[in-house]
Amino acid sequence: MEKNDVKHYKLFMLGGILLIIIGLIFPFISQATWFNIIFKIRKAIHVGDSGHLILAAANMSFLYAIQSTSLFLGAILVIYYTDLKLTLSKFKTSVIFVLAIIFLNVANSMLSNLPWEPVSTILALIIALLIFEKLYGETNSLLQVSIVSIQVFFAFQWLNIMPLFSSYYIGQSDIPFSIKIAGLYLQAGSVLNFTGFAFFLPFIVSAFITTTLFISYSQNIHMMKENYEKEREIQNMKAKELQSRIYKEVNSLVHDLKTPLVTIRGLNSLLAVSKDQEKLVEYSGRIDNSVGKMTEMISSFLYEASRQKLQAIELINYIRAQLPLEDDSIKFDIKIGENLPNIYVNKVRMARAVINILENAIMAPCIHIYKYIIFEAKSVHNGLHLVVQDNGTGIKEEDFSHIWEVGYSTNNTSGLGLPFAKQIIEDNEGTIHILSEAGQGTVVTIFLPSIYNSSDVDC
Amino acid sequence: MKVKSFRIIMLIALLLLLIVNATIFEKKKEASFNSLPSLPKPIAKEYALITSAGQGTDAYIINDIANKMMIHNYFMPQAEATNLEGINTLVFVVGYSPMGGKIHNVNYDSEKKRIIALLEKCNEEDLTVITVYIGGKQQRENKTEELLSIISPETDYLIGTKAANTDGFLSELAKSNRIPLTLINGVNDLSEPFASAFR
Repeated sequence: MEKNDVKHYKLFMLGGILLIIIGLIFPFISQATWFNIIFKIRKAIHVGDSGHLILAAANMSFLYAIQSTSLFLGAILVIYYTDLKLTLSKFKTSVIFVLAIIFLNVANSMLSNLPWEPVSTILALIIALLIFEKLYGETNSLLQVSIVSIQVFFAFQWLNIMPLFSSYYIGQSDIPFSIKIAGLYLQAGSVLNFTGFAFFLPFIVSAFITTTLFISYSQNIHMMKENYEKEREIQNMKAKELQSRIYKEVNSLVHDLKTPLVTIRGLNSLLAVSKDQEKLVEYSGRIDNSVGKMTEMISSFLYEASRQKLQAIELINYIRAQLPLEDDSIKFDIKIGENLPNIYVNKVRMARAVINILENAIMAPCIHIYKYIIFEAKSVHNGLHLVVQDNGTGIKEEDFSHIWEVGYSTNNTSGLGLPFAKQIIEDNEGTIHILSEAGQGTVVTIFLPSIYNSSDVDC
Repeated sequence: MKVKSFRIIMLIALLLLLIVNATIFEKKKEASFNSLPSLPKPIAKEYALITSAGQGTDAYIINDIANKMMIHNYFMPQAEATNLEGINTLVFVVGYSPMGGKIHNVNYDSEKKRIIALLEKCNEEDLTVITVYIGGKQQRENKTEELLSIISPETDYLIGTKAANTDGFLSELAKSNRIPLTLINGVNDLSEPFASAFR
């Protein structure tokens, strides 16, 4: 990186010196055009037409603008884009820059015998420098600086032909004064004043507007980049959260596996001491049962799509076994209806989904002394309804449309529970609906099709 | 902050400098030498040769004025002494222009020599010399002042602008060379005094 910087600095230095040389030799290169300006002034006097003076003024302004811009940009490259800027303070850099420009103009004037306009040039220089500092901080684009600075220098050159500003040492060198004196002779002083303003004002305004547009464009690009980076970061975080959720589920599964393992261990120790054949068969059967449960749990987790035919009550009991019911401030009411249908679901994952909903109900803010949670299972047409109802503060209207979004949360949780639950329920051909009113509580209704209405099961 | 202050100070200093030194506020030096609005009687005869002293474009204005006033004249911005044949009056329009010199491949030294030669010839032939300067004080830089100083001793009538005489330079020249001086407000006031030299 440092080598690259050094290389760039050298390039900028070379480029700057080249531009300065171009600025210094420009009067020689454009000599014919300068002569043409004198001829136009003479013609204007001879034919009495001030139009030639305006043309002469336009040519003069253009030539001076190119020369000044070249020297300005050259000095910019040498001073601001090289390590000279790094070694000096901002204040010293500005001072050196201004002095350098003045020196270059004086040198140019002496070399080419083309007098310069100190007042208008320095005024233009100050404005161009102010604009450059703004642009440099935002865009760092030399092309944009060039576009703006040539407008500024061109604008200020038009002040030189205005007799209005003669008293203020503006337009007092050879050619601008010749234009003015010829204009006054042709009774065209007001024409020169008007023309001067007519070019100065739009160009200076244009320079400022162009600068604003460039800065605004650069800021927009920055913002877009930042937004893109933030979006990527958010996606990364969501992925990490999802990983962590999966880890949590694995954790939960591993936790659930402990129960049958403890059973197996206990039965195994009994097996070691028991001599009764009947007991041995019984214990062996129970160990086999536990192994079966563990296998089922692991399979359910590993194979998301794997589903089992089971009675609804089995699922409900499995869920009840995992409910955290220690908190005395929470009143749980579990209602189990009659004639619950058989269902065809992935038991472990479905239980996790329902437990997510129940955990949401438990964690929901509540303004009452006790939180009431009703967990109801009832048979409905073609399936089973699992209803979780709470008396929490409910979901606000403005949050309602976002509840299924991954990562969206109103109470500092991961925001993954509901989307996770919904995904599992839908994978098992079920549906989930939420009814909520702020201040009234929330009702979550899960529908699971009965085994006869499931599409995958082979009845 | 320091940089911003520096720039603001510089800008204000520049503007103040301009305002304070603006020529409209210049204290006019009391002219100890009275200038005339025009000559009371003519001193010059036609044909006049109008030439430039310094190769400025002002000579073209004087030529145009002379033509409009029907003053018979030859216009030769780079006239030599040999061109004074048949001429009764030589009109110098003083104003040094580097660009004008470049166009005609004339440097300052050769221009000076040409003017001196012309003046010598005028002296020999006893021609009337009229000197016109329509620039301002800022245009009256070293070279132009030197040309005026060279020409004035042989001048019979000096016309200049008031703006160029704020420090009394033209008055001093006129006084020391004992020549009548007319100070005009601007180029459009030139016709009357110029014509008064001939008619």
